[in-house]
Amino acid sequence: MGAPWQVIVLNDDHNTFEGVAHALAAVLPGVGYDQGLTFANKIHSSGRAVVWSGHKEQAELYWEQLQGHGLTMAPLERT
Amino acid sequence: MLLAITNGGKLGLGLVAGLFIVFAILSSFYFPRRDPEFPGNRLGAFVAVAALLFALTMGGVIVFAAEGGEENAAEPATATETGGSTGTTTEAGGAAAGDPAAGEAVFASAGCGGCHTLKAAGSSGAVGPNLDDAKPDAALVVERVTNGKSPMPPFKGQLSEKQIQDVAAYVVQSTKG
Repeated sequence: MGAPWQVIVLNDDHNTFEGVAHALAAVLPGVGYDQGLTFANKIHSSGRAVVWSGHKEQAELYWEQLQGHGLTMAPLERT
Repeated sequence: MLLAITNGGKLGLGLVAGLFIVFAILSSFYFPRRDPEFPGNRLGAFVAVAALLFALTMGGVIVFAAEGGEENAAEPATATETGGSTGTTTEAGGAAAGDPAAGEAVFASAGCGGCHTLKAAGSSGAVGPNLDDAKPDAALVVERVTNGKSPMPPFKGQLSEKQIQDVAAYVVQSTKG
């Protein structure tokens, strides 16, 4: 068992709160629009937020999908 | 299994089983050669002796092997007791039967500290709740570690139930002690 991989979204100046929330809700299992907004707030206030963590392969998939939605992604990190 | 049986148990079981084996060999080869009619009119006695030896061997297995089994079972039992006694805080926090000492290792190897601050573990992760502040009870830790809550992954399948109980006991002990 290894430590989980983290999918991290960075703050930027071209995505709206709603756009980020929609993207997160569309890609991440178990994340709805409301939680997406919570993440968006955290990204905005902290500059970044871990939005998902777990197996590397899944992390890579979500990372690519979120990037495909136009979000600014940090490289995958291992906790 | 055999290794778990005590030396005395092995000796006792060996003697009883050996007696049965000797009896069987004698009855099959030696007695019929001396007396082709064997067991003849003493069939009843032969069956009785065979039944007695069978019962003794089975009894020996139950008695001696059970002795070994108890000794074997004594280890986990001790561990549980230890978990129970050192886990006074655990019980107060939600009745987890985990072993906090084992949980410390799980906390480190599973990467919990990467996301959670826990002073006792020297971790300062800021992704998830600060455990020193949150002071979760054992039931909550077990639930979150087992099923996760985004962005925390579920650890079910990666950690055993025992490991999850252990890490819950560790977190509770570290934050309430």
